[in-house]
Amino acid sequence: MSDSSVPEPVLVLENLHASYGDSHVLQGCSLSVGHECVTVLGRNGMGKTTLLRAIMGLTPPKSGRIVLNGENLAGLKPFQIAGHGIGYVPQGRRLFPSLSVQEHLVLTYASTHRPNEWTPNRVFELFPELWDRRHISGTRLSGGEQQMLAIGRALVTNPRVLLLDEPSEGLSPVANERVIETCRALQREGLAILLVEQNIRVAEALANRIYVILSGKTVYESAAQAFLEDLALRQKYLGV
Amino acid sequence: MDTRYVILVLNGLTQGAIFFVLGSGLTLAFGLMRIVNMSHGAFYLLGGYLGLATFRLTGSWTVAVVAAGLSIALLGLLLERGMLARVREGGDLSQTLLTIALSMIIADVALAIWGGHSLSIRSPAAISMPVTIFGITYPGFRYVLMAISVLIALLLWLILYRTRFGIAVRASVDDREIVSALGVRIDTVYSLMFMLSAFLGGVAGVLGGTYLQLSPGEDTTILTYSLVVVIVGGLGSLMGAVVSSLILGQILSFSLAYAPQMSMFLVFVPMAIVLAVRPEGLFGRRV
Repeated sequence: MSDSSVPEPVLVLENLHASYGDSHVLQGCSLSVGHECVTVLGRNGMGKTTLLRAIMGLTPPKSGRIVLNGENLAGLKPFQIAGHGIGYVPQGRRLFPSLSVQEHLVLTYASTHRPNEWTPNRVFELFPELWDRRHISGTRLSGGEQQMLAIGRALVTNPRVLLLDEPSEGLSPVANERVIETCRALQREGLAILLVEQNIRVAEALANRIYVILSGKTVYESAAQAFLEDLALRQKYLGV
Repeated sequence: MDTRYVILVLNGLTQGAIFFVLGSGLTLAFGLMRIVNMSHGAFYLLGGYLGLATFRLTGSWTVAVVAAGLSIALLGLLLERGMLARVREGGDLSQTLLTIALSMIIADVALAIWGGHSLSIRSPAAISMPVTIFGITYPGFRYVLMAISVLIALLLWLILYRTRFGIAVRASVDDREIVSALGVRIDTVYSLMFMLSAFLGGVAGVLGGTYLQLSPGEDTTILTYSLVVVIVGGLGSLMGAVVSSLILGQILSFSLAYAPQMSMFLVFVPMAIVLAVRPEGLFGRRV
């Protein structure tokens, strides 16, 4: 792996520590994300979800730095972190049962006045199936549509970095393909994507670079290709 | 039909109208935002007294209503920012104890200022003349109370279902954490909602103080009524608050006429039945 394959970072995590109840503990996570798709792989309970929660300020980090475009976000409240340009697609999607599809997008839309910003209408262009169902409750959508809405809801905050927590969870292969295509398109637009996944299929399809997290620590980093082709490494860290 | 019954029904509607303004305030804070506010009755009483003071000063009933509402809203903002927000992580018990303490302080301050006698706000002369509809003569002011209540119900519905603030409120009820992680200023949503709730409590105090009277101890009675409205209607349901206020108003009106010594008991009968049969309330969501 040569240094030239690592793009200029947008988001940098430096030695992040956080605890959440008794389990799921971060004990030193460091990584960087540029205009690319970075995937964090790891088995269940290694702290992948906590890592994203710590970035969002939902599980406030005990120490370490979260640097977005040179500014340290560690210690800020979740809404401030979101306001600085981090979009969050949580595990299990967590849509709002009381809101219609359209209301989800109206709620989180933050205008930037840039010509190609994400507006609710642009999300409907990206996911036309949501337009037809815009008046029904978000939780009555199919699994794939729910994931699209969860992504759309984060996009209209007009983030610089998009965090995705296990987007493939519980999706049909077709829906999964759709999510992968969407992420590719977003990445081409210059969005930095940080994805945590258990599903190595998704990582293969999307990732430029890979980090492996083990007991709350980032222990391995490489170009995606190198890791995915090394069966011994995969066996060692993921058991697959 | 005997006019006597019609009058009783109208009295029930008037009482129900006041219950709605009062109870909708509590259902917004307690039902929707899960801010346990045991000082809602004290907000009502203090609002009533402040309205009375404003009325004596300006002679305008409308100014009294608005001034009382706004002062209590401001008080609500200070209490929410200064105290309630700090114990939010402590859970329901901390909030309950804090607001019970606040309600005692408010009630005692009111007692010190306005004394122990019953006081009443005079209804404005311009709208007090009796109105005769279908041969039934009834004070025009009470129709005004009903109209105010309907107007408030419509406004609350518009706020909750037709504004971005309302969307944020409903989303916060579903998932506070994710709402804030998506950039919504959740603290502001809480403060605004609590202010609105306090505003309604203060306004209800002026309406109630004009229809009936203001006296020490009224705060706890009123808190009890507003809890019944919220629990029977279902936590956080606007429609529930409408229906339960109407039911409660009729029960109170008829029981005061036929069995006054039983009225408190009869008010709690629907609450007991609802809690036994449908614990989430008539229009509540199963939690």
